[in-house]
Amino acid sequence: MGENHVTKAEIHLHGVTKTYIMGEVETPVLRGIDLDIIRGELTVIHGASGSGKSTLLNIIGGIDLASAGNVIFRDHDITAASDEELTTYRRKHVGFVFQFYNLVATLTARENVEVSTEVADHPMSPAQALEMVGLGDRLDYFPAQLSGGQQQRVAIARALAKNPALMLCDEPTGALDLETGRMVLQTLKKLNDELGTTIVIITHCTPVARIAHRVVHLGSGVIQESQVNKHRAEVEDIRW
Amino acid sequence: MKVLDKKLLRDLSRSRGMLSAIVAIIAVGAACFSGMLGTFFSLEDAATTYYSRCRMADFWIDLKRAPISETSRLVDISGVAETRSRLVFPVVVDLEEIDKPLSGILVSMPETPEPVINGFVLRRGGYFTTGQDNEVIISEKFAAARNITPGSFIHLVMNGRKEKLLVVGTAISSEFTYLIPPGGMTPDNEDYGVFWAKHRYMADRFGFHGACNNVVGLLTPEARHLPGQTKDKIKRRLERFGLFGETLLSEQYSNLSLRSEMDGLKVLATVLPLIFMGVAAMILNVVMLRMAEQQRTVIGTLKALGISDHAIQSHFLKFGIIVGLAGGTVGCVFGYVISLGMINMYQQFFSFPRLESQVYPGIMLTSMVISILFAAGGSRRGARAVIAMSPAEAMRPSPPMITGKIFLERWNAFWRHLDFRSQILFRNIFRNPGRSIVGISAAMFGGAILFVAMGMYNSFKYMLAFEYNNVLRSDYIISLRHETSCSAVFEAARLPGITLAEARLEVPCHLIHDNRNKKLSLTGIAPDSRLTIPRNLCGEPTRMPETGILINRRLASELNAKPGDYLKMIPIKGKKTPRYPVVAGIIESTIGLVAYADFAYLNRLVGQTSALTSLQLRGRPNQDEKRALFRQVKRYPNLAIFSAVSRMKKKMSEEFIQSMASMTVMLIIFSGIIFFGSILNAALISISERQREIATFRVLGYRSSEIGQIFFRESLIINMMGALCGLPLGYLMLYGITKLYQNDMFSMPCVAYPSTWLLTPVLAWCFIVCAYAIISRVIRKMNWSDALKMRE
Repeated sequence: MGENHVTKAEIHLHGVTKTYIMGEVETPVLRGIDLDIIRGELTVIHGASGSGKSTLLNIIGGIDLASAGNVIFRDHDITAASDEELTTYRRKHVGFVFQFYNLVATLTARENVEVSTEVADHPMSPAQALEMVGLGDRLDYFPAQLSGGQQQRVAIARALAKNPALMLCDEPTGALDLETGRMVLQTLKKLNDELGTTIVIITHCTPVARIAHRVVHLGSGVIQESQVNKHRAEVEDIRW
Repeated sequence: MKVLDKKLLRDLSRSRGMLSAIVAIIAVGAACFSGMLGTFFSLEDAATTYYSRCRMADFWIDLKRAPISETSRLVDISGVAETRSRLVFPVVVDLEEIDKPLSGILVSMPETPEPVINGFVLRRGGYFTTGQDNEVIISEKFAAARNITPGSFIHLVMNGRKEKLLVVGTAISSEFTYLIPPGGMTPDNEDYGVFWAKHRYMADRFGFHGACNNVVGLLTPEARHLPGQTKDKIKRRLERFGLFGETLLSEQYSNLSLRSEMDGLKVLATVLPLIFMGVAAMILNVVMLRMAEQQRTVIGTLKALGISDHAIQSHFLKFGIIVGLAGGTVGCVFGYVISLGMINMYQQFFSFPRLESQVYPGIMLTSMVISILFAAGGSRRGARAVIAMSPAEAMRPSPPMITGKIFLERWNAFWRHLDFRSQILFRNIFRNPGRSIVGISAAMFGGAILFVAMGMYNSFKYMLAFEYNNVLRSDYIISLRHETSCSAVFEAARLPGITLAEARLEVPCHLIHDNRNKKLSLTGIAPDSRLTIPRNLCGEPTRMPETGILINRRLASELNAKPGDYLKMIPIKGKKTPRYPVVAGIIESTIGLVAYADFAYLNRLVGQTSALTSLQLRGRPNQDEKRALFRQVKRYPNLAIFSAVSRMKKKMSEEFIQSMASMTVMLIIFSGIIFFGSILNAALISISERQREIATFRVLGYRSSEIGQIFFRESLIINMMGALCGLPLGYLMLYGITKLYQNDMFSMPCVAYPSTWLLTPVLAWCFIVCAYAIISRVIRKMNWSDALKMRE
């Protein structure tokens, strides 16, 4: 990671650790992570279950705090940000996509996206966001009326509708079958290619890494390997 | 509409079953508050207007006879603003079409309408004319009950002479707002009325020219703060004219009855809403805890999306606000209905020119605000814990419940004898202590209200029944205008249909002990009296001692006297020589201040030999004999008041108990709402949390009814524990309420029969069973196969 990368980094992590304390038991999850998420890139953080990748994503997204180290978003150190500052950070800059979609069951697809656009500075319209993920004809469907893949695409629309600087996806295909998973990845890749959105995907599924610009392998709370894909694969070419 | 608000509305709609139970509880609280307080203010407003319109007196003075030239000089006393000297006499009413001699009180009024103290409000007809003297204005309720209209004639027996008077109008007066006949406890509009006649006419008939026997007056605004001082000055001034008694507004029977009723209302309007709102807030807290827990992923996601804690907190707060608003609105409407019912009841007992259930926007607004505050408070606390979590933590599944052993498991011998259902139920109870406490508390208040409902009914009934069934056993009482000799008893015994006649000597007097002074009528009865049977503190008949007096519990407490103490007794009439009777025993009585003495002993005490002032009679229920008796009594020249005790008893139990019964039923329904609301919510929450458990049981082949029984047992234990805890609380509440109805005129005992202690848990059990009929349906209709597929 050179000086050059730092200047282009959307997020810069230095020596980040995270330890969960449950009573007298301390469980270290991250043990000194140094990582740059480069603007405009699609980064895949890959690792086995329990490797700490979700925790890392949460810290990048400002929904959890590091125990030690520094997290710098552009020029702002958000390591010790207050709850209010982190809320503003998430509101303005971060879009989340979760493994189990986390849609509000009592809101329609459009309204679920509105949850995000209502608090964003320059959002696109919910209908436009849903159109982009291929759900323009499902605006008024409730989550229960949509398939898993469609629900995940609503979640992506919710994340992208606010034009975030960073889009963080936690196992976006984890709950989906191959075809549906591919459709979701296709959507994410398209956003990255066409809109230049910085995307971080965490996954335990190795083939997904092939579509990324950069792949970070995480194991036992440390970065074991970080590599740049010289040739990014097309989504149709990968299987898992 | 903001998207979170849309979510709110849909969440509300999805939880409507659960929430409607809470809304009902809040509605009852709001209804009690707005309804009872509304009634209180309606009474207060009506009384204030009425008192001011009639120029209600601040004091009443009863005298034997005083020159008006003297009484009109009372205004010289500092503190006395204005006085009116008047004539007040008991009167016998002889209606031609009625055999029975009726009674009333005759009050003098000026010849021409003037804004006098204790004036009246004309309801029909007009004021006295200038031409004729024998005109009378009669109380409205008596006129209505006896169908007497202006223009008709009635006969009043004044000073032993029967006079024919023209009814020129009907009226009501604030000093008779609550009018009860002597010896009665409730109004008797058919047999007792008020009659107003011209002062000069009355003075003629009673031989009171230039004199009066009653003074009413107003105090200066300053003297109203310490009326006792001015009263003492008036007493000293009038003592030489045979002062029988002096009464301040705060002690006046009608005003005191109205005020004690209003005090009771005020207490109920405070205590009941507090209970209902508190219970609703507790239940809402549990519901919101559960809802926040169910929605922790949503909350985490919203936070992750950048929605602020404040916005999420407001979202949940709005939940409570809407529930409170709904409860408050329903409560205000229902409260108005309660107020209508109560005002209707009070109209039967109190006479007001205008007593209507009014809409008080301030009370309704306060009721709404209280409902919203309680509900919002309950819901805010519920969601706080989840909102305080970091988004990442909130999105993780909640940690599994602590599954260690509960304390009951330490008693192995006990624990291993339990079947698995009981083990599940005990573990659930003890692992959710907060929720169990809320359930127990709600049931405790529900049980307490049940206890109070039945206890109040029984206490009122006992108060009336004790005196009229146990102590006063006569069918009729004839009060005489003048003391007479015992020969009257033999005369009375010969009256048609009379099987037993006994003499009574009533001596109005002051009893003094320990610097405490109480005015009352000391009653002398025969030692073997069968028509007045004093009862000891256990309610058993007690024999009249040959010397000394028996005083009731309240009088003993007011005088700080116990058996063996000597009291100073100063008769109000006659020579007023102090005597010192000993307290021979304490007796029970539910009417104010009571003291009995042996007939002969009391005669000796007041320097008489065999004087009597009233006769008590027992008669056969034969109608012909009754009519003959009434006709003969009507002609009795010494008759002051004729009371048909048995009829009064019947009337009281019909009217008074009936209105108490509707109050009791209302309270029982309120209690049922608490039980229903609490049980439904607890069970629905439990079911939603344990869907997988229910599904597993179904997979294992259990019927929905068998699963329902597990939930039923859990609810039964919690609610029965609560209901049992409600028994002592209910007793304490009942004790407090009965205290409000204890004064110098009547003394409501705190009566809790074994049946009340028993019926409270039985009724609670019925409510639990009824609530469970609904729960069983929910379990039966549950789609348990979906629950099996749920993600943990």
